[in-house]
Amino acid sequence: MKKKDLVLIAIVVIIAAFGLLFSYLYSNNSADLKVVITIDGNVFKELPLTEDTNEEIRVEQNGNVNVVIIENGIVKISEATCPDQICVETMPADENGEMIVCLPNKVIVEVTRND
Amino acid sequence: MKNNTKKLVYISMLVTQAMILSYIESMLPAIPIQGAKLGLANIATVIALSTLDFKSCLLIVVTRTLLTGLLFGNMASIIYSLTGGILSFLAMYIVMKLFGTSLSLVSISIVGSVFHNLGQLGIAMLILSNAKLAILLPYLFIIAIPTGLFVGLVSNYLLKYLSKNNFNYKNNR
Repeated sequence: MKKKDLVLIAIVVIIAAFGLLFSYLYSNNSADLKVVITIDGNVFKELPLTEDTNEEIRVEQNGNVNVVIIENGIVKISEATCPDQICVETMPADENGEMIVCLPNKVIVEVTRND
Repeated sequence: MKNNTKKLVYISMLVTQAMILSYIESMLPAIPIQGAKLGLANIATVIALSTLDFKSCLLIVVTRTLLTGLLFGNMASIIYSLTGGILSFLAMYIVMKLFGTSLSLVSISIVGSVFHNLGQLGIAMLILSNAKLAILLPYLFIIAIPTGLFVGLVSNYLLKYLSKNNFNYKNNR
């Protein structure tokens, strides 16, 4: 490790910090939220995300299944047929701009503002 | 090049090493962010970059991603890893050319890791046609630091051993 390595690490951290700050400001107003589920870029379903929404949605296409659960104001994928299971491992989403992605099944679960 | 056969064997060895490392990585638990990867196979690319010429390096990157994809993946995973692999390789090559030895392999592999993640996310944005995926960018940058650090340190040790045994086809490091 040399001095310039630390400079480079610092630059990467600063860029990431700016990104996080930006996404925090972007997500800040968490009043009226909805969940948008898309398959391969096409909207599959839109649902409100509130404390008392309780839904279990089977997102199914070409034999690929993702089970999306909305409860207690958060949304998560509980089960999926994809090989990597990254979408199941992803943290549940509850803020504007947060998303859960399943690349193999081309499914995106996104939290956005209702406007 | 005096010793072409030795070089050819060396190239194949790096490709094999990268494939085995990808396989080992696929058995480890995945990082729960789309596009992020430990990138063990990047060790082979970093080693190649510091011991071989541009053409041979590109050959190693393309061969190992294609072979790994065909053996353990599918068409989609080939597209993702090929973009990530080539983008990170080009970024590392350029950084190495620009800064030479003033940056250690740790920095080189962090740059590689960042651009690998950028490439994968870029392709994901294209395939899923959703530009909002960019929200994952800061996380991918942060993840790139520990993974790049690890790959860089391992490569450093391996490179020391390799240069001791005359596996260097380039004299800039």
